[in-house]
Amino acid sequence: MNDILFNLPKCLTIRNKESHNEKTSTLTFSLPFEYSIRPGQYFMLWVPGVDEVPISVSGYHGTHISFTICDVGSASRSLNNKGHTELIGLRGPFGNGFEVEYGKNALIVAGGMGIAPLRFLIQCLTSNITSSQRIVLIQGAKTCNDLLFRSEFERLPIETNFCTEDGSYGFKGFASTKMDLLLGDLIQSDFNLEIFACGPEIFLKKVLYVAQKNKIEKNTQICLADRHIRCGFGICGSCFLDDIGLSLCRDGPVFRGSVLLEVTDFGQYGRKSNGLKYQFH
Amino acid sequence: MSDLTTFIGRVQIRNPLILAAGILGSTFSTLNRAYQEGFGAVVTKSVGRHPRDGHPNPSVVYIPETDSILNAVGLANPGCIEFGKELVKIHSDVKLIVSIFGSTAEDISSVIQCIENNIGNSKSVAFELNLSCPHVQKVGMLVGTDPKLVYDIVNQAKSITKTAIWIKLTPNVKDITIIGEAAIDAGADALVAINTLKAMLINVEARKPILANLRGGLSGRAIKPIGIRAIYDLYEKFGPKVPLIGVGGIWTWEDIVEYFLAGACSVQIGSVLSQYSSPQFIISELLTGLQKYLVQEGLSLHELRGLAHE
Repeated sequence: MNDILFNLPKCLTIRNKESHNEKTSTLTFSLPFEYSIRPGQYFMLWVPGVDEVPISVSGYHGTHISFTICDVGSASRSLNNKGHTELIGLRGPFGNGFEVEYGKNALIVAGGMGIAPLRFLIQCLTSNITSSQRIVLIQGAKTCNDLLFRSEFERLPIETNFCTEDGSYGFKGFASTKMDLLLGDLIQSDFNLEIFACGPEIFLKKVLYVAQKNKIEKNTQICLADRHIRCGFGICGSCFLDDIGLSLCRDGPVFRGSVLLEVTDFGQYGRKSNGLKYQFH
Repeated sequence: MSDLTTFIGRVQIRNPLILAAGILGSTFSTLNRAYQEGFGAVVTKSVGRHPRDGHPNPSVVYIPETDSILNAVGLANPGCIEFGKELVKIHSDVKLIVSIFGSTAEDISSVIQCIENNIGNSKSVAFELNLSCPHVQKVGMLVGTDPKLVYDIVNQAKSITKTAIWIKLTPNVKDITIIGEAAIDAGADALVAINTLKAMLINVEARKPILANLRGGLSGRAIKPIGIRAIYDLYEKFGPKVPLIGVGGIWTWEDIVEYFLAGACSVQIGSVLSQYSSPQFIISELLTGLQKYLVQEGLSLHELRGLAHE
């Protein structure tokens, strides 16, 4: 618990709000001082009187910290509707983030809102990029309108591959399909490759399948995002993964592919707030 | 090496450390893992007759100044039928205690029967009746503060099962021994003290209570002296014949010794797990410290019990 900046909610006002589309926006807050936060870590965002939800950090620079939020429930809707002067409680940072090795080639695979923590990762990687280093992004979304941060990524020194399910921009199909098409060539040219992925769990299961097919699951880091979290520090038992008994909130949300191969629930079953299992669709 | 084998009535466990209810224990995976990592026994999260979603977030927060946890999870559980299916997957060597809540004697007995129908009557070593949850209306603490209701609940539970019945007591009463006495008179096999204390935190900036349920229960280091006093009072009243399990704020091996000196014959561990990346580290730290102390003092665990009363 020593590495947690705010164990209890610290209420901050929204410094900046950028709307991406009708359902998604990025909120930026100013922390009281600089703090060590890793891509893949998350905060619990509290809307007093409504709810508190886990949200990945989507950007962090100096003291400015950003969260990208899509309307999926009462708390996220309320967050997106908040004005600049309103108070939001921040608890965190929680969880194990991505292990970032600077100078290593990276393949980043994002499905939908999974781009949020990966955008922070891309910011970190590109801030220290070397001339020989390749950073390849495969970003998938339902439509062109859902390809968050697209123009920002196009300006960065990375190779971008955009995919949409409806074909309204880039490759028509899933990012995992595109990954399957690209990975063989990438491995041939770059033996020293690390894969980073985030998105819906069913999608991540496909990503891991492709990685495993190419024998690179140990170098694949996957950030899970589909599960119910209460405490954030691994004690209440709400988010544990069967049947190795690791917590998503503290041991994760980022796991190595080789670990997830041991998780029988991965990509198949989540748990509701009452602990009952449900199947992912 | 001092033998740490512990007896709680007729229940024998390999060491006196038990995973407390409500910590990790909502899935078979975590209960298996906690036992594998060294606990003497593990208590499940409390289960009731019907599914409950629990309270919205914030429902569990850590208070760094006092190494304490404030929670109002609200007895979230999938109901006894589904939970029974979960418990079937627990390894056969795990010493399992199933925690149960309910509002009436019938309610609680029906959950015991439901669990036994699912997992058989040999898998769990005890049922721990949670008559003490402070943050859900009409169940838990409200039940556990009425000596007559406690007597009826224990009496009926004892009549339907051969498995040991432990009663988890609330500290939120004027005299904990009155409730303890009602439970013992009705045939309870052990008393567990204490559950969390009624508590609240208010965020100064938002000017609102932090918990979605507004009120919650406090566990962790801040409540240890209250737990020690409860065990001391219970031991003073009942002496060594009633097994007492101390719980509340255990952070170090010295805390375990303190609970034993007060009169406990075993202890439960919960909030301190927040400080460790894996249960095995704290378990080994506590057991090593306890072993060293017993060897140094030339005492057995059993001999340590209740010494503060002499």
